[in-house]
Amino acid sequence: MCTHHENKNYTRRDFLTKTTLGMGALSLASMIDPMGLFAKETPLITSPHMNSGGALGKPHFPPKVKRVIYLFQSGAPSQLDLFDYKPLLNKMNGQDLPKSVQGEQRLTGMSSGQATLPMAGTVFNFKQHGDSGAWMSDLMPHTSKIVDELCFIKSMYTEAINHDPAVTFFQTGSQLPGRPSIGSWVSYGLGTDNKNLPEFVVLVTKDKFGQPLYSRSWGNGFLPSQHQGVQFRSGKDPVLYLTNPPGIDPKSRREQLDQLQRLEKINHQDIGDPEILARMAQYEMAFRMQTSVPEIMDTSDESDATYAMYGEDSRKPGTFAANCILARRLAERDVKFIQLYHQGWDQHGNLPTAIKVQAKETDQATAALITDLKQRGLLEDTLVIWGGEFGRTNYSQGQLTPTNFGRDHHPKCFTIFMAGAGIKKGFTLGATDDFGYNVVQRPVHVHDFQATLMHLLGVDHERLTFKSQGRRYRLTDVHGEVVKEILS
Amino acid sequence: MNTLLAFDFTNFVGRFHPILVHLPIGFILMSIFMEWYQRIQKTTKLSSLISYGWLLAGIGGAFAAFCGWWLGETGLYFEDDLFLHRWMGIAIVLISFVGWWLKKNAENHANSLHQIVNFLVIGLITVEGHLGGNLTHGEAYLFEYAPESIRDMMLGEKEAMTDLSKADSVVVYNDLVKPIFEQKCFACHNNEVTRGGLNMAAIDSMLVGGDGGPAYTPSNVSESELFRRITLPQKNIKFMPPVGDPLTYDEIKIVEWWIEQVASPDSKIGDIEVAESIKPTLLRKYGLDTNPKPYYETVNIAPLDSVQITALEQNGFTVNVLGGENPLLDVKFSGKALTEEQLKSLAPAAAHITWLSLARTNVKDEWLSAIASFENLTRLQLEKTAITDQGVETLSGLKHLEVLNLYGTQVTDSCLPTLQKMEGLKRVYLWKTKVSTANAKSLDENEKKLAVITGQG
Repeated sequence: MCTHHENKNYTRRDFLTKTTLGMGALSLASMIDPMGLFAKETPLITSPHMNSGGALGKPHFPPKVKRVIYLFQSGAPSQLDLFDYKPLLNKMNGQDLPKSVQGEQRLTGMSSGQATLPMAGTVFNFKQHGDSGAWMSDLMPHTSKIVDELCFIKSMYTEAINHDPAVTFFQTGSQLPGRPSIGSWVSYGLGTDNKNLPEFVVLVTKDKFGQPLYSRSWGNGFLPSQHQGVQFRSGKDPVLYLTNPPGIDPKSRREQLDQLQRLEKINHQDIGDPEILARMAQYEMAFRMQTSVPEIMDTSDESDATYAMYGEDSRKPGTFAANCILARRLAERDVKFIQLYHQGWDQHGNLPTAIKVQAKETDQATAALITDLKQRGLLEDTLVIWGGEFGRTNYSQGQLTPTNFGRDHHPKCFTIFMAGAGIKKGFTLGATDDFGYNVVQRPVHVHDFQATLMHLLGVDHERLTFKSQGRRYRLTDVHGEVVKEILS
Repeated sequence: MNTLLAFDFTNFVGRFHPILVHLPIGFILMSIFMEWYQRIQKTTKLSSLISYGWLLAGIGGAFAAFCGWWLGETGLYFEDDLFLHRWMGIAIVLISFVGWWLKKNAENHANSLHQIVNFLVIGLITVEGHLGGNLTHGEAYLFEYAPESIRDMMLGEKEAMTDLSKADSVVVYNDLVKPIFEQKCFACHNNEVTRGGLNMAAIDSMLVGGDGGPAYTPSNVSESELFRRITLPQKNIKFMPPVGDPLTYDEIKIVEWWIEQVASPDSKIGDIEVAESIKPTLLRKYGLDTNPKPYYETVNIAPLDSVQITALEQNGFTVNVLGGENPLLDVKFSGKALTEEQLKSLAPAAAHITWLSLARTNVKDEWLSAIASFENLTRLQLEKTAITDQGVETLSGLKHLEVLNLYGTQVTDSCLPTLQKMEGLKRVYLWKTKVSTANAKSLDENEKKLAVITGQG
């Protein structure tokens, strides 16, 4: 039975780290600076990434992108009804999907039992837009107007076929939970450009349903916990428990934190658990956020013209449009990674009606965000990404009628688009076959996308690693190639 | 059709060489070991099996050499490498017969003679086998995975590879085209072997051509025999290369581009205008990014002293090094209350600052002279400040300035001529200024290299 309670504060992992690598590091450090071994004062903030600089110190190469706004469309928007125009599907509407096209592709349990897989042409009109001639359906009239700013990848593919693994895969590079999300890697590697706000902020459209979103999509995994995404909620308390309770003024809060700092410093000297540092960094961040967050969330200085541009929805806090305005405000204040989530794209049935609602909620604000960033000069070093976790099938799940059908999950091809710094404008990469089922030109894997994103931020995705459980991990695991064709 | 049959015969017989060649080696080694064994055992008379071993080795070796001769004739091997292997092989066959004769009457000869022949043959076989291995697998094969020190010693210093990371300095023929020819054509078309009369070792000899005329016509792919041959249907008797891997799509594209576009043998990518159609191939096959590099990546300058950087930070600036080997700086004043002294404190970093943001500060027109001579400044953010046309005028000498953000400032139409004169300027942001939309638009349309971004609302 263990009775040595003074030792139980070590976690098993910290103990092992300290006794193996720790001793080595200690002896190395004392060889370099023998007197340092006896120095009593250890600064509370020791690891380099506790300050403004990230773990990398500086990027691997000059970045094209200084911040990212990722408009994640959770549930998987139907590429066939929005971007990827396939007249053949309309021509062969209702016919069974040829086995030769389907190949060995697995189907979900939701449609694998169907007697037939009737191909479903889109019910929306497609037109070419802009000088680039990009095809867009009339579901997105506003985005159609700015296609010359956009870079489409029509040949995305993923490995997962269900929402949660697919979202987790997109956000963390692994289908299994537990790895750090993209924003956390960026925060860890590159640090902050604004010490008063977190590097990684998450905004979720409120009152949307469908597939659940888990906070692990913006989790820090095994990275120090101050790198996790901070969710700003709509309403009175954007960040829960951030405001001082009644009777506590900022001055006494400051004094309390200073006192806590001193205590935790002693605690850290005794125990040496790095999470103490992470927690103290978080306390300090929260203190600074007590002034910076209300300033961000107070949109009273936005003009009517701005609201008109983003759409009337943007006046209602918590909508996608309102979040787009917030995203721009955060970008103006140099928050590095701003991630929006908009749920509800999972149209297994009733697609023609449901997708209209989704498109209406996102189209105008997306276009407005890109236009707004551009006129403010922010598109010089900001990247906007719009896309879901996989695509949707070219055949109908359930009964196909002239006005109604559904589409099942389809990992083999889907479309995302980007706009902003470092990438080509009015450009389309890759193509799918005439059935919209397989990629026939320049397949882009999720890891390739992630590698490209990191590349734009000045990070070599193969060199940003973190050792956990005995091996070094990176966002792209052992895969990923930068998609050079889209770089400008 | 006869030539085709003969050709096949060569290949057919030749390819038995690797099968046959190992058997006689075994015979010889076995015979030598038997002999040594008997000598150690002090056997009075050597077994006659030993001499028969040598005889079988000679006969087997003769067959192997015969096939090997034809394999060499396929033209897939370089004459230089082949010569030694071929004649040493024949020598070993002859020595095997000598060995047979020697061992048949072993007592008539001195033990030392026996041992000389034995060791000679073992030595020859070892070298011969190694040469054969090199011919089949390439010269680096044996030591490719050796520890680095051994590898460097055995393979010597690698030929200096062209640095493909600097696209501009890549010589199209030497660095891109010639390696393709080396790999796929040189075995039959070189200075020694000139099948069809064609020597592809140099551009001159290609232009002289072979039996059918010049190998290619510069700037004219459709009149180029070489290009026709490599793009024929593969079953066609004239298809090149007749054996081995055909040229890949990207390789064919490179050859086509070279014939069509590249005039001089010394042309570098930087010297010629790279056609859009070949860019993806250059990028895919060689990782050559032929898109023009941003100016800030071409500046060569020593990094700024860290003391200076700290001084800037103490003056209220956020300072970031661009990254990697690039020492240029991205500097931003965080906060509003900028003073002229603070702005002047940037002077030691004048050559290093390439991105500068004074946005949302109280910077004044007359202060801007402090940054007017920043030679490597490419991006300047002055949005939401009180800057007027006068301030823009002050900046007109920034010849590498590419991006100027003036959104939300006091500038008027009068700044447009100044902007037009700034030769490096690519994008200027004029939303929410006093510049009229019509004038901004006309500047945007008249000046091709300059995009004037206004906004809505």
